[in-house]
Amino acid sequence: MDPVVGILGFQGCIEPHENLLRKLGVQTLRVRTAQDLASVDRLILPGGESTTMLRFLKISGLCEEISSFAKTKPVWGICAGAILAARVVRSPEQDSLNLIDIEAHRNFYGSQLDSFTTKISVAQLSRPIEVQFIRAPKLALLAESQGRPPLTVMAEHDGHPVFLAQGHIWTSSFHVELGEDTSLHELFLRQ
Amino acid sequence: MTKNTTSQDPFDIKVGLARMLCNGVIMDVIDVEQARIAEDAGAVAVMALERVPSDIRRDGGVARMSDPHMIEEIKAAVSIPVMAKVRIGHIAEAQILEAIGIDFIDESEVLTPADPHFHVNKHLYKTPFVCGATDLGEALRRVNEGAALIRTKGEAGTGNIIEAVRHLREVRRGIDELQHFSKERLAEKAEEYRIPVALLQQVKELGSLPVPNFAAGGVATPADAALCRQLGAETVFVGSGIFKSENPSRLGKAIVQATCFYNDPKKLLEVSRNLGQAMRGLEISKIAPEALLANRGW
Repeated sequence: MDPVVGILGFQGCIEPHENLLRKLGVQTLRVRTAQDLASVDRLILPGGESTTMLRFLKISGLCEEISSFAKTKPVWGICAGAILAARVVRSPEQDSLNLIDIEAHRNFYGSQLDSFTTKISVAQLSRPIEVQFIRAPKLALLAESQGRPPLTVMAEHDGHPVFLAQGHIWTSSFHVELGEDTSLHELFLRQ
Repeated sequence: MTKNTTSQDPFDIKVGLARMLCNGVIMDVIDVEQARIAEDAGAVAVMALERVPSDIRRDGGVARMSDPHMIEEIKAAVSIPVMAKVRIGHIAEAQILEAIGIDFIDESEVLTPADPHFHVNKHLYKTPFVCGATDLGEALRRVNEGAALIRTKGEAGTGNIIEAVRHLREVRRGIDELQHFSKERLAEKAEEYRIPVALLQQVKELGSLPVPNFAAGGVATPADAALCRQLGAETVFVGSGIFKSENPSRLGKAIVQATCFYNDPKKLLEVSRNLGQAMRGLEISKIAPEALLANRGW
């Protein structure tokens, strides 16, 4: 069976991921229920508004389900999705799924005026990729929780980690789905 | 892991923020308290303004950009993006909002137009703009001027969805019509629309606008939001509808749910129950033609 990539399907930047993954010949599913989650092999928590998505997660009762999914299956949180995946969220504090030992500072880079496009190098990719920081959070490493694998900084920008992995859990403060480059999605599929 | 050259493609970043708002609800708020209720209800952004469209319609007079202090207070009170409105063509109001560091500027027909000839040249700003449109030509003139997001004009402040539906259908019809156009017809259409033919060619190839397309103007219930989504709107703005209703918090939450589960009738039924009185609303034919906001702009 070919893998199915789930994209948390309540709010945010969902369609661009579907388009990129379709180009790679990969099936996708918008995940809104436990039943949806049970039929996917990987999960993307997309960009959007973390407060809005958190509300949906609480109402749908998916928080627990995603936590147990993440114990064995790859999850990639992007921007707002990284905030959802973090262990601790600041400015302001809010609940999260605690899938990875990081702290996310919301809107760290400022308002939309401070959003920008840049090229970054990712450890496992042969060439730099173009990424977008849109009202991006800052991601900081925390001490690793017992039983979790070590945290790896996969990419930095201006001396800050912007892409962190802990085992098969990824978080990036930037977006890649807005462009045409599929290389990071391909890497996620090999996870 | 080294930093590479930073490229500047501000338009992509502007459209990027618009894409983050997709499937979420943008709510009009007039003060900090309403902004907090909206954020708590699950809004993806708030539109800060002194008077919601239905009050502007009732009060008459010249409607201008809101007091920057009031916008700044709302900006400080919530963590979600904040938008605000400028009059059509009012480049100085736009500069002031950019100086505040607003996340999105709505060049809006709800306010009294300031320039009889030109809309704002939105390419000159780093802040993304959203503009209203009633058909494909108008939408693409705005995109050509640099709008990163299009919304239907609908008929703001009426609580009546018919005009938003008309505009969504018109934009769709305009896009569908392109599909069997020859090169010559396309060039002719571009001339009629007063836009570069390359932009029209792009729309033909995409089968959609090159920027997200939201609905606005008349959304008053969860069913209205679902209707707009089913007709292709990537999300909705709710102006007067929420805070002119009996229970704004409950209605706001219900519209957020309906915007996401727009094609799930059972879910729509569930969220539509017991919401209290919706805003009263206006029959479009009872509005004097000169009072129709959708006719502002060109």
